[in-house]
Amino acid sequence: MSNAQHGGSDEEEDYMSEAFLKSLVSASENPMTKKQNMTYSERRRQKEREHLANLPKPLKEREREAREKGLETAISEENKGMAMLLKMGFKKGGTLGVSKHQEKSSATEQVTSSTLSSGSDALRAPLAIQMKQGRGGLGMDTLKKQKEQEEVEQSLKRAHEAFDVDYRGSKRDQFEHDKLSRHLGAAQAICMQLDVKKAAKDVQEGREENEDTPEPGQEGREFRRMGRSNSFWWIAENTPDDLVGTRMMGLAAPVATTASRGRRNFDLSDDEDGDLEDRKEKRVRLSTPDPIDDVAVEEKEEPEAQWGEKPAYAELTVYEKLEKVVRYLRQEHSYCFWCSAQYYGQQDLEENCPGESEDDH
Amino acid sequence: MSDRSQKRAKIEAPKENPYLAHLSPSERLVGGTAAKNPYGLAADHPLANFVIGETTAEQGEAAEEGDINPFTDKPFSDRYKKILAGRRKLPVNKHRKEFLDLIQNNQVVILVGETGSGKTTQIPQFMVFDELPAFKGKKIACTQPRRLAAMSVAQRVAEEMDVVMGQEVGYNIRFEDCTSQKTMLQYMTDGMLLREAMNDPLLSRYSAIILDEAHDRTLSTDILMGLMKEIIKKRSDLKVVVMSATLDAGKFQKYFDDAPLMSVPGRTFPVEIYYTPEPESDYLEAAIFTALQIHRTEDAGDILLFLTGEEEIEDACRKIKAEADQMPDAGPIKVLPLYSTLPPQAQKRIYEEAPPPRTSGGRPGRKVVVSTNLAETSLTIDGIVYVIDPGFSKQKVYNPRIRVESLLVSPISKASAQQRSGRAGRTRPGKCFRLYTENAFMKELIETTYPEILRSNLGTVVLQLKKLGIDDLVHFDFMDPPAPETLMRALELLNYLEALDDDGNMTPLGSMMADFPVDPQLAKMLIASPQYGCSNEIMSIVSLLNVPLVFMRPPDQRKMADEAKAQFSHPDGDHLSLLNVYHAYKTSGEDQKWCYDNFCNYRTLKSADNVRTQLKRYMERCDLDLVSLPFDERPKGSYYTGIRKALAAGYFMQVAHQERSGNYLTVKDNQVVRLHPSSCLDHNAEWVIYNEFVLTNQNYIRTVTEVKAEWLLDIAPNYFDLDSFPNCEGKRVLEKLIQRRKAGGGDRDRERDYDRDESRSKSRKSDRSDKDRKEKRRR
Repeated sequence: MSNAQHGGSDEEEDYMSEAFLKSLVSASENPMTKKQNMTYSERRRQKEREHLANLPKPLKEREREAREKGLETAISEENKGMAMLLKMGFKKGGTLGVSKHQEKSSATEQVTSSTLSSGSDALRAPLAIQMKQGRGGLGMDTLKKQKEQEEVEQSLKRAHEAFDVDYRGSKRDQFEHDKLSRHLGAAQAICMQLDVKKAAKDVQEGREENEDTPEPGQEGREFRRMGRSNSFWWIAENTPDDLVGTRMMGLAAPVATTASRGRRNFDLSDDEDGDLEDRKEKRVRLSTPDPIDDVAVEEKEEPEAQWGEKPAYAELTVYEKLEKVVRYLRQEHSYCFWCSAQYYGQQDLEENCPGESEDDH
Repeated sequence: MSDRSQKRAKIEAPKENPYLAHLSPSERLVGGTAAKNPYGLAADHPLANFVIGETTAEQGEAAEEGDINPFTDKPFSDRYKKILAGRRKLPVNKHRKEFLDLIQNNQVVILVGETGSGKTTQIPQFMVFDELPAFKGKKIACTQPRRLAAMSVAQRVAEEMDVVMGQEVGYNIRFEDCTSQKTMLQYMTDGMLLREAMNDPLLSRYSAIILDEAHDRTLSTDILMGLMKEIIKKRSDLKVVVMSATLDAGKFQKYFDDAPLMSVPGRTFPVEIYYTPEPESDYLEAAIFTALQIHRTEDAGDILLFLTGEEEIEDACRKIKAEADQMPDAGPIKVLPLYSTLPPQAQKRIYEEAPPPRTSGGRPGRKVVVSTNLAETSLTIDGIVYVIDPGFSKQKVYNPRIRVESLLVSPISKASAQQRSGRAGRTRPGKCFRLYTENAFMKELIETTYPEILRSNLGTVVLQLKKLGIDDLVHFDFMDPPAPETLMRALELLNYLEALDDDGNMTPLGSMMADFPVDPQLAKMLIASPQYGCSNEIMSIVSLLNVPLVFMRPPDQRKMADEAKAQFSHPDGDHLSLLNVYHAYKTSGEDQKWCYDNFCNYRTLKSADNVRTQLKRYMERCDLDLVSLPFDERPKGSYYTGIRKALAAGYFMQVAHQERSGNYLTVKDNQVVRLHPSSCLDHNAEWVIYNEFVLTNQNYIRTVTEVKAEWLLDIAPNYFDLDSFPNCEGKRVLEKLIQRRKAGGGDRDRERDYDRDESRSKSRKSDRSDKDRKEKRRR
């Protein structure tokens, strides 16, 4: 019989025949051909999996696995005992004991709350075995299990969330985000440098132009003010307070002393900030020395502020932040971040710089 | 009602009772004296007016308070009178009339009484005065789940009735019968009564059966209850009392078709219950800490601490003692362990008084009893005011799927927790410290402990039931029917042991096996042993397997104990080591000092010897030859080979095969196991038989002896039918062996077998190189 079949398959089939088509289908399901279709990394991964599966597991692990498998597998129905049991009138899937007992008991079941009160509760499968490890008190295991489960659930949830967004998409986004963050950091550093330089110049000019020139030696204080109102452009995202201090220290030592106090104040302005025009106005006002403490100014400004609904700076995406800083640099300092060059003025900038965005460059 | 009793009186009274044929004519019921009263008693005899089944509480009390003991005709002793005064104060004493009314009008009575109500000692006595077994010729039996309880209660009742223990009142436990022909009240283990029923299916020697501690739901009590339901249909004169300590009695009532229920309140005081706010990370530490805390801060009163096992208990005892002795502001302390393997004298120490204060007027001394759940229901310790309950006990588990039977530390049930807390309120209001949260109590604990029948291997029980003539095991009226797979395994086992045929009918061999008071595997081994020429040796081994462990291993002398044990160890296995111990014990002249010096338990060996005597009697009764192989005969080692083959004849279903990876795999179930550290098997044995497959933190096989695959194929070709084997190394080895056997002749093969035996024993000497070779092969 099998010989005949063999003989048949040896001959070449007509390509229109069903047998030929079948062999094609089976070929595609064949693991060998499937293997050929796999990419290198897929093959590598599969090999790795196989290798891991073949590694000898620790004895205790094997013990546990065999035990758990054994405990959940019902005794085979080919077992001799089963045949004997069937001869005694047992029905497969049934229970032992007297059946009339069951009917009678079901009515009174509610009265006695005992878990095993009678026939209707007759066991179908053996009682489970629970192995207690260690000397944890009663309830400790459940507590641990609960915690573990919560953790598992959370990580699952996280994994799910990550998965909801397309995996590759999220990878790309991650890369993009990292790049933007780097740009933002660089832009902020430049902004800070230029602001400081400009402020120094403004102060000098102001001293010449303005009558309310602050006393000499107030430069330090000005820096501080600058730092306070402006440094949110400079601070990299999520930089802790002390780090802000040290970074500023590199540029202007006196700022460092008030950095942490100042920071608290920016938070206020951070929240109000958003629009570039306003920013510019503020910038002008702030950069010119003001008799009133700028905190007070800002507070005063608050009511007339229209940017209530606008997203707070902290809530902006990295891209938006970068956009803002870049635009600020262009407008304030005629500096193009993408050209890495400071132009002589707005006009020079417009004529010689290809454009505002990275893509233009 | 009176109609029935008259009828009964007619049957019972003046007739010559064949069961009393052994007594002197004056003691027998002789027709001539029947004119005066039914039993031929003189008119002034304390029991002269008694009518069986119609006595009153007053009559009984009057007889008890008389001057002459009605059962011995001797005057009551002073001690008796003192005890009697105490008995009258027991709670159950007030219910004597109520009880008699119930038992005289019903065949089955359920009695619920808290421990300490006196039911175990008093109810049987009430019945003695009503049933008058001395004249009826039928005894009263009271079953106990534990041997120790049966012995100690019998002792107590003998004192209460002012009779000699073993005469009118006696006990009968496995391997120890302390009764006589005069015995009218017999305490016995439930297993013993079940065994008796095998030869006397209607229990015709008894007029009343009292099943005590039914709440324990031991395997035998459960089977007995099912049996009682059958017997009472056929014997209307048999009275049955089911006594239980917990309030789950409704279940018993329903099971016995709404039998009347009587409840006797115990003498209990309120107990305050404390829970911990958080689960404990180490219950043992928490328990010790709590005990010390109580000792330091609470008023006088003894402490009862529940733990799970011997090792834990001894450990806790040491730590509590050491810590408490360091406390300057606390009173003296006496810490006592209690567990079942403790010698009886040591167990009795728990009744000692608490130590007196160090100085008069100083802080009072305190007794701390650290116990297993032995102190939960069966033993009552007076003076306990504080109970510490970590919520665990060691419980037997059995799973037929992988055929494992083990004691595992498991959470107790709510009923147990309540029982435990109740122990604090025996003498005055008490406190119970539960080392778990109230939430855990509500959610983690099951209502009642699963009855033993759901957690046991049923091999022995099925054989007994078959012997009792109960053929339809599927529809037997179990109070809680076990899982079908459990019964399946039991039937399978008995079938392979050839005790039951394929239809489930008992074979003559099975009937013989049932007579032996041991597991079916061991019974098979004993019956098969003459064929292997070693029945004497197998008897010794089986008796040692039926007593607690012989080897002692005190924690502070472990090394010495192990060295002592090594003297006896036989390289081929633990069964043979046991035999060595027995022989050495006998050679020493059963010397107690020898036992002490060699870290052997004298008591255990003595009782093993007693068991052996009993087994010998059974062997003789079954007409089995008592033989031994000559020790020095050729081929060398055939003495032990014969013994090992006989062992395999009983244990061929408990076989493990060593895999190349070094560990063992149980045959057919393919469970990964390793040898128990206590095993003395010193080389890589390919095939072993084992006594137990136990679960602790790891899977162990305990009490192991090496066997040969050839023997297994010869002894149990049905079981070693390779078609029923799952894929494993052992199967392939057996396949090859069978092929080789088919190719070569059987005789030549057997010769080769011995050759290999010799070569193996040689290679054993160079065990190291053997191991090295194994290593290489693995690489």
